[in-house]
Amino acid sequence: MMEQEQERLLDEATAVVKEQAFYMKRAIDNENIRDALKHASNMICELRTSLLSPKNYYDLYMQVFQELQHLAGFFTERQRHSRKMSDLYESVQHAGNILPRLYLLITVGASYIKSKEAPAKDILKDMTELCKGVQHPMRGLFLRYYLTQMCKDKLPDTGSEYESEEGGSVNDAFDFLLTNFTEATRLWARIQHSGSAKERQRRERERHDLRVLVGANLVRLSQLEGMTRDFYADVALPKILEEMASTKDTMAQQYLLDCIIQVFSDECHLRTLDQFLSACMRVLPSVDLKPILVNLMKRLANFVSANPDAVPEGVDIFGLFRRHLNELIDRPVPAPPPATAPGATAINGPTDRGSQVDPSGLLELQVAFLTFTLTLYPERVDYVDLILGSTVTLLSRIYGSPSGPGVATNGKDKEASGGGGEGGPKRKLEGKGVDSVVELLATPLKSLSLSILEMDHYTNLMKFLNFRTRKQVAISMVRTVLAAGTPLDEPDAVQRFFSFITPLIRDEEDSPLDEEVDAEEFASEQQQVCRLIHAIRHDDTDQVFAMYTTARNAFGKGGPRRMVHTLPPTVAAALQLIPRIQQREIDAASGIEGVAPPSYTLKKVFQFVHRTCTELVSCAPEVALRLFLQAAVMANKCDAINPGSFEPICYEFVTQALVCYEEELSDSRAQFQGILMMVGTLSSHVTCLEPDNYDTLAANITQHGAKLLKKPDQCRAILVCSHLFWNNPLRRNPQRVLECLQKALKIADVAIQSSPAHVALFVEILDKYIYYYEQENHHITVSYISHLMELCNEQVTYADEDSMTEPRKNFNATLNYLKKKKAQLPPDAKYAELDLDKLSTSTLNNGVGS
Amino acid sequence: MSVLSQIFGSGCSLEVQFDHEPQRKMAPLGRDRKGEKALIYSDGEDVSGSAMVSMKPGKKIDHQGVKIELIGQVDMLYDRSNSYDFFSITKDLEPPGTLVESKSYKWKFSSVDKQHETYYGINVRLRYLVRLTIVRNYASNILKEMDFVVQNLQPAPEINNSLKMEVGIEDCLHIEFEYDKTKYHLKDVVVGKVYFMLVRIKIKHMELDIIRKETTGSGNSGTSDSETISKFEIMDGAPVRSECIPVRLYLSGFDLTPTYRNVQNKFSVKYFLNLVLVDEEDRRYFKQQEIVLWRKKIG
Repeated sequence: MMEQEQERLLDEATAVVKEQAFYMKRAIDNENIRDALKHASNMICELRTSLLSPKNYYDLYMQVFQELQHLAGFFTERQRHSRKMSDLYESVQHAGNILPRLYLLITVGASYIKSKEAPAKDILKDMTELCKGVQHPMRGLFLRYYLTQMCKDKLPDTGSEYESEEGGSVNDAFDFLLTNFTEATRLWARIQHSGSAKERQRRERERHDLRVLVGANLVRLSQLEGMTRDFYADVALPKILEEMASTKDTMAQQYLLDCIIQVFSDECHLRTLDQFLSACMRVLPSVDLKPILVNLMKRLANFVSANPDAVPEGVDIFGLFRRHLNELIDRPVPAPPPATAPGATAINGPTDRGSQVDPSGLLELQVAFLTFTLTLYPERVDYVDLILGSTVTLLSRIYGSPSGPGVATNGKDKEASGGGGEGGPKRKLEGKGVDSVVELLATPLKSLSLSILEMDHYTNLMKFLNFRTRKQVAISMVRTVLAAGTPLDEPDAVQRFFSFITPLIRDEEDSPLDEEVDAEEFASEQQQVCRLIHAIRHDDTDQVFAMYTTARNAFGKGGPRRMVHTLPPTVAAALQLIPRIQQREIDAASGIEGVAPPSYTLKKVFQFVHRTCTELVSCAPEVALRLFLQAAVMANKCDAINPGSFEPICYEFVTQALVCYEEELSDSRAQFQGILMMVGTLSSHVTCLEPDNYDTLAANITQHGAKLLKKPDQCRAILVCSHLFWNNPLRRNPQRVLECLQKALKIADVAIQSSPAHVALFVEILDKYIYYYEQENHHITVSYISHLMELCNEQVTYADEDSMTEPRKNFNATLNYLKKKKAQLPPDAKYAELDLDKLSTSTLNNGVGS
Repeated sequence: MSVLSQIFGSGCSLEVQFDHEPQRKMAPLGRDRKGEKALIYSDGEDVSGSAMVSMKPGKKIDHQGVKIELIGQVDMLYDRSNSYDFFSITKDLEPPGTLVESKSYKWKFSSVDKQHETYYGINVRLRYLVRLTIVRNYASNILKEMDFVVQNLQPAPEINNSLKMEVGIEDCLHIEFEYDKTKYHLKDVVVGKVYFMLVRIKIKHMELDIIRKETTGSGNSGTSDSETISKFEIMDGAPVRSECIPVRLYLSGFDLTPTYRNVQNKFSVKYFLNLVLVDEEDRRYFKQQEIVLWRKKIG
């Protein structure tokens, strides 16, 4: 029915209004006041309906309102009706029906004020009083609205033409608006009780639609010229708040509080902050204070940031908010709300639902407060900490103290807190509140960055979160630090920071056992943590090293699965620090002003590296091996500057690498790689070793190469090992090189028995021969090469076609290289004796052609 | 009878006129004499005028005298025979004899006592009239009657308390109402308020009615009729507890008379304010309070 029926009703009413308005205007044209009033009255009678929805009633009201303006205009033109305004004012009061009577009264009354034939305040007061006759909520609201609309420009406001000794002052204007506001509020609040319980929801919706009629009064109040800040603080606000408090209606209190914030100026709010907030604390428990306070904070934040000088002397905005918010937090868990507003959802204060207490509303409020505080006081870390502290207090009451039982700030809830221990409260926060707490933790991080480390309550607050969330917070903390590019430059801060991100650093009581189910994610988390190492920066090497040590100690508690990720970068960073320390040692020694010798010497750093690498041996041998070698290289570099001092260290590191190889590397591929790395390091980057030491190591490595499980690996390892006896000019041994190559050849010979594919080995050996021949190793003669070439040629030619492509290409490449050498002008004397023509041309062609 | 004799060849016509100042006010005569207005006199005022007997040419009338009377009369409208002259003054204008030509007379009743006001009610009528009579022996008398209206100013009452009362239906409705006076003049305004102490019924609206109660006769034979003079809505919708509704009722414009008490032992007219609350089922809850009306101004 609803829609259509409503439409029909409105159409009918509209038709009557139009018709009567027509007659009314005609009577006005004829200056027939009697008929004009009669038709106006008929028209207004349409507003007596109870059937229209608020929206449609408003429609109808607007039509009537428009038409009545003609009548008001007529009344104002005194010469047209030549009646005394007082007579007119009385005569309309004879109407038997109250609604038309009062509408007409207001219409005349407005003109009466305008005529100034009577004091404005008296007429205003009279009309206001008489309007009480309409107690029907909707009709009453609209009538009051009409009163405010008609009189809004006729108030004895400060500076207005109606202000005078008799006409009244801003006080009267204020009283008028306030009384109407009060009455409108009461009518409005009453809607909820009219009619059956069934339709309650619909009524509340309609009521919500009507709220602007109430607010209009406040809007006009706020526009009064006489509404000075003093007047507002001393007179207006107390009365408005009193009225608000007396409504005992959730929706009304909610709307009015919001309205006050919206319509009055921010200067006013600043002036009356305490008053307003105190009032907020006294509203019904079912009023949702969150949006109200959030709005207030937003407005004040914007305003104060734009006008920092606007804050009145002695007003501590933060302190006021904090005091009142704490009052909310400290509120005892309320008993089920008294029969004030049945069905309203209670959000204010921690509400008891069964045994479950939901602090989410309060937490959101804390978030807003925090944002607000950060806008107003971007520097006040202590303020933020206070807010976090309050939040901890709040949560402690529900979930138990973060630092164990019995310390709960408010003794009442001890039982609920249960155990706790070092892992924090027994029960963790769930549901909506989690997001708020995360935000509480993340927001200061964004703006204050590492200043959060100065906060006492930050970690306490984190403890209320479950592990997953805690870890997320930790990660976002890490990311923030990294993204900001802020250097970590203080050992204590590093210490604290690591304690803040414990969920990432080590296992906790509630860490899930399957944390690394998603290995990739786990790795990426750990990598984030690793990057922190590189955020550690300081001019003083001692400081840097101290921080590395701190990080190292923290990482050390992370267990193997974390250390795999976290220790290598620590070592790398420590190694990078070494040249700076060495330079400092030199500078200090040579007496450069202002340079003190480091308290953490090179030796200490190397020890640190050593210990750290050793830690890795069992869990990540390959990595450990590589790090040992890198450390050796670094020691070698140090030795180059300060010869002799670091040889033992270097030797030790290589030895450790070798030990690591022997004891931990079991995979043959890893072993092969290990050999390559060791050879590469030792042969090319380590120069400081004592001859005996070098020889020992070289021999050892070569032996390991020869012991590799797979023949091709053996072969190649030996080939590589040949460099151990060549690259280092001090320990060059051409004979050993040749032996290596020959050994390789032998192994290749065996290998090829099992698979013709291994022919590649021959080609590789050939290349090595050519290399050493060109390096002028005298034990390598051209006959070896020529011999080997024939062998290769043979193998390549007869071997199975399919598996040969790669080796053949390589061989042909070598062949072409040699040909070029021979062909160049002047021809390379070394290759003069080499006869390439013996090789079958067909092979060649084949090779090149394919 | 007298009407017939006038038309049928009584041979003369009578006329009565009042002397009056131009500013003397007129009042409507009453509900059964639509539109007729008559002059207003007050207690103790002289009533004077002239009387004319116009003879048709060539006629003559033997008579036992010509007289003029001033009469105060109470008629019971349901019983025309029950007419009672509570007051009568007679003046002879002509001794018995024969009228042969038209003649006019001056008459005057000095300082006439007219303590009752003219009243036209439902069952009863109080009227004042001047009657010119040619008294005849055998034929019926020839008459001419002219009404005039009596209204008497009353002094403002010395004691005029406000009217205050608490009424209610237990656990259902409890109100207290207050009118500023008990005695109102006819152009007065009733100002007051209705205070709701308990409201458990769903009130739709509230009105303040003016009721006139006219009582005739006395004792068992007495009858009484109530008439609602006006209905005036003073509240729309349902109030809540502690709501106070203003009352302002202008009495001017209604057909009101002063309160009359036991006029000539024949009738009384009393007025009541009736406060009526109507609930959503159209049940009416009401309380009547008598108010005394008095005349402050003629007209």
